[in-house]
Amino acid sequence: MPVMKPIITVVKRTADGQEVLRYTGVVMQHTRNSIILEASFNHADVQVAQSTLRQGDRFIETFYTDRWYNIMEIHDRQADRLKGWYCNIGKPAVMDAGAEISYVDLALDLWVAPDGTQTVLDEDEFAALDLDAETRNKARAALAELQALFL
Amino acid sequence: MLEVTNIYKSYEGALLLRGISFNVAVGETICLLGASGSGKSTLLRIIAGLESTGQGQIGWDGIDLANVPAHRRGFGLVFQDYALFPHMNVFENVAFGLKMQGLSRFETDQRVTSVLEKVNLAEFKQRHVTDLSGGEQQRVALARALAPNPHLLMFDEPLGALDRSLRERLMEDLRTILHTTGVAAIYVTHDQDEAFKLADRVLLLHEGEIVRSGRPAEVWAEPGSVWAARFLDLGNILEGSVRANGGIETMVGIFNPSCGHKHSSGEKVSLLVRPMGALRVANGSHSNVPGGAGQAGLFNGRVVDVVFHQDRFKVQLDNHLYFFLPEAPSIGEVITLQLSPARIQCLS
Repeated sequence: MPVMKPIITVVKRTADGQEVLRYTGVVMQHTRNSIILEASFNHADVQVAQSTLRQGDRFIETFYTDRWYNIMEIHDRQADRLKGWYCNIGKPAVMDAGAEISYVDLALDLWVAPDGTQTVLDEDEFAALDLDAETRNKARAALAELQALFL
Repeated sequence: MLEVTNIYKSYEGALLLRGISFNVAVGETICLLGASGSGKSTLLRIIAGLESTGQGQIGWDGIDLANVPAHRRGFGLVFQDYALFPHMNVFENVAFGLKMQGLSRFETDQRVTSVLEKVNLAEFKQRHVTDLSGGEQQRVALARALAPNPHLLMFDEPLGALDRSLRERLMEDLRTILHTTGVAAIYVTHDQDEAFKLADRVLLLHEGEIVRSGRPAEVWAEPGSVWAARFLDLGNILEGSVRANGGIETMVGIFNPSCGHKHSSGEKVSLLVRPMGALRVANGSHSNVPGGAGQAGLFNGRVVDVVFHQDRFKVQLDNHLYFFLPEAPSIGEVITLQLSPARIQCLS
């Protein structure tokens, strides 16, 4: 196994390959099929369901190289309070030389509040994507598996 | 009791589920058996509340669950891909759902300990899930689903990724665990062997409809349709026509099946010829002349293949029928077999 650098770059791409987001995080753990990193939210405030994500919130992010989703556990920037989990449905993440991890985002998202309430986001956007039937089915199955993980 | 009533669901214009109704009692294990694409997984997601019902109703003890979100239904799900968090150890994975329910640390600890004992992983608490074998990971996934004391556990092809001997062992453990916990369970599989071993009741799903349901022995004895008999691999299917003077004429001979139907002369019927219980009789006791006055239940065939099958041999004949015989005939040999009417069933 290659020695991991502590800093890793995350690249998010759209289904048609365009880069939409790039940021860095600190690697916390690296397993056979996953990488966990910590990143700081670097955006203007975003409202998700009943929560507001703020600049500086702590994101513990798990990317899988064999699952069609990633999971971001979000903690408040000040208090060590769990805000919830933001999960992106996307193609399995690809590791590049241990310094970069990238994934193709398939629009569909799941928000899970600390009490377990689930909200599926951006279904319309997902429906509008030009995807083949297999990719669409894999994304749907991944969403169900992800939802079950939080039941 | 889970009550599934008249569920219809279409997906991208195609009707995926057509009028599905069944109940699952507390302590009962139902196996939903069907080929891939038969709508099994969709049905599970609908019951779990992860997908909307197109039409119909999911209820529990008479209460409609339409407005109860997935995380409030008290249903657990186990998938083929052991849905565990790789960065957590066994304890943390199993405790995950309990924390979300707001259980105290003491209660959580007790619950996790007890559920890990049930799945024989009491010593594994501190182990990392990524260090475990596939079978062990699947036990953790089961413990994780059992921990919140669900009313209903649902399994979607949970053993599909495991090798055969491990699958056998886990299946037996799962049977015991389901019976001792008394939880209601729905187990989805395409594997008839798994379904028949685990189920109190089997539901056969074909093209979005339940085409047969019953206890495993009942379904095995009376598949009810040609499709079911073929899918369950119950034996040979022979097409025949009803003779005026009794019996059913097929390309290999005349048979008198056990049959409760009323048939008219010339009617086309399908027969299920079970491969076991065929008796080999002396050659020449039957002349194989279609349409002739052969003795019912007797026929000839040339042996084209013989496969060792534990305490017997699977013998393939040139007329496309196969039988299990206690002694291996030689390949190329013409043999005469006698079938009792009980081994032949009329499917239509």
